[in-house]
Amino acid sequence: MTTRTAGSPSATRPENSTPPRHARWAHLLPTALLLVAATAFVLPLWVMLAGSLKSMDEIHHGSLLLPPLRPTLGAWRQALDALSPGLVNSLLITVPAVLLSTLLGALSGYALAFSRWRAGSRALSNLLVLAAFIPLQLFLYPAVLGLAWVGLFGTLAGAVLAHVVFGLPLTTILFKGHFEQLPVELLRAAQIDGAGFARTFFSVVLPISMPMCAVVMLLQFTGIWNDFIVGLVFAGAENRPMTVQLTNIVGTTFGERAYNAEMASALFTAALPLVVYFYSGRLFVRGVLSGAVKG
Amino acid sequence: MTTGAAIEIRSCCVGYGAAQVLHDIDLDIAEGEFVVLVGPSGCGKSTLLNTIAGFIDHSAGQLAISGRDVTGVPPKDRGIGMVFQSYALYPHMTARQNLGFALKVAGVPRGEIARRVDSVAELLQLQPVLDKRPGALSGGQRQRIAIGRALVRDAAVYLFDEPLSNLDALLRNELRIELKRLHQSLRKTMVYVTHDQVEAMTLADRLVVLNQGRVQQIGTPLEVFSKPANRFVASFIGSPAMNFIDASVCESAGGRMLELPFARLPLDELTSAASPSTPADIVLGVRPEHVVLDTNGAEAQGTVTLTEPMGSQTLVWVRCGGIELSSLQAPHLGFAPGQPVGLQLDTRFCSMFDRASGRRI
Repeated sequence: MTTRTAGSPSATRPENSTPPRHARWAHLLPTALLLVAATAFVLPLWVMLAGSLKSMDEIHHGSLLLPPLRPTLGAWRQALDALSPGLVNSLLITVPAVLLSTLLGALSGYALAFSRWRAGSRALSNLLVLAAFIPLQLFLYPAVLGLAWVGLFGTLAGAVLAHVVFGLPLTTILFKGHFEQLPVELLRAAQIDGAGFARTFFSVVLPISMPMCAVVMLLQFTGIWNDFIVGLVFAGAENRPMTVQLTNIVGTTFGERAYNAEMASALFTAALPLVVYFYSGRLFVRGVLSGAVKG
Repeated sequence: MTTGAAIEIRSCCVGYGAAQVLHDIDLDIAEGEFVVLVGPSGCGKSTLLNTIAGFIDHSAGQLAISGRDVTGVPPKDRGIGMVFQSYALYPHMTARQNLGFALKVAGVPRGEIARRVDSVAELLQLQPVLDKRPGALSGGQRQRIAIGRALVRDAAVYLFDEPLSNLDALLRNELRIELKRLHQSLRKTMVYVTHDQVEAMTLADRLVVLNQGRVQQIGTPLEVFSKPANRFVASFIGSPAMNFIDASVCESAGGRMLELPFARLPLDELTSAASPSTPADIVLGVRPEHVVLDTNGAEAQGTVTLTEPMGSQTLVWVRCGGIELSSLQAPHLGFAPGQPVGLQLDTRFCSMFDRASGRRI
């Protein structure tokens, strides 16, 4: 509390004194840079949004940047019709895959962090780091063979399993790093209180790691929702997620390209992660900082 | 190894070779005793406590709690309760849930948990905060809950790892008194680690002074204070700190004398244990309260160089025979720098140490 008041300008600076000259102009450069960056991100979004509400006629004759003069939901209707099955598939793949990869990552991260066999734990962690940074394309062929062998190739469960396996190295490493920062006295207190491995994990460690769980789930959610290759290869023709169906729509080259429908479809596909990020942004920041600041 | 003691430690070592942190610890703690492990940081006191708790394995020797060898027994099965320096409360649980967690894990029925939590809460005056989470509580309340969490378990031995050092001075004194009252009424075996010698002196039935992984002295606070076993204990225990004066034994017409920079004292007056084997090089230890300042009839003359008023008493530094000595005086006597004073040592309370080994003579 005291440091905050001491650091605030009103407390340290006399009221009628002018700030030093450079301070008044120093903030202009970052602000300008931020404005440029914001424009670079917002402009394409605007083009997409405006385009998705235009008819093909208007797209052919007007500028890309103009707002729709006669807004129509026709393109959105087309996108919904084409992508609804994909939306359901995406949810059926993403939700279980996110939950499982987070929970299993937390469990194995906990085991690795507190294993009494230090050398083994370290070796395994190094392997996981390696695995997390090798592109998953390298594992596609063996994974296809493996899933075919257990009879899950071309099913929703197969896609979920592939996502969980490919996601586990990263989630495990993240959780391991987080758990190693937990105060050792807290875990000792749980030990004295008689809590074993599972009890300590579920009653003490997991509840106080909720911000970390949120971070990992968000990371996994965006990764899995936006995934293309796992869905394409492992889910099977009937179970293709939204992203795969989107490419089919956008990639068709017969006749006239329906730009308005393509833009609506792309926006539709990106909508859920956007909403999730919008609402969890604050949580995300808190989670990233939770190890650094006390409390 | 069953002598009925609460804790028996026999030639216990922790660590190996160059990394050995505890050397040959021997300690018996009686049922209901309050034992304080005290020493500077890095002396091994927390290691010893964690060894008793079972978080650290001893590499040699034996360790028994309630007459049972606990080598290889996990902490939860050693019948101990423990209070940590950082409180280590579960932040997502209310005070009530924190207190009851161990009982819940042990499968104690709900009604019984509620009854025991309530009785501990009453003992520590925690009822008003039982439904709050640790984050909403003050440091003192948190540490009271941590103490309560240990007491609820009804263990054979309670371990305290510097429980008061995170609190501010006023609260520390308050909780120290509360802990002493608690021990007087419960009469449970308690082992308490601190680096604070005031805390150690005031709380302990018996003190264990540790330095560099070895026991320096075990005794009641008054024994350790008045008859320190070596120079380390003498300098560590007692505040303000003891004066050390280099001295040598010499023969003279009146018998053997101790030659100080500013005076000669007959050796018989200082110790009854003086013998022909008494080494010639000696360090005389005198506490500031036993350096008597007097303006007339003293055996040595000195000059006041500095005064440190401490409220109830003033520490007066006197230069005499080329060395500086501190002396505790009543503030109303008004000693001031530059003032010449007579100086005398109260020989009844001096300690003599072998200058080479540092051991008490």
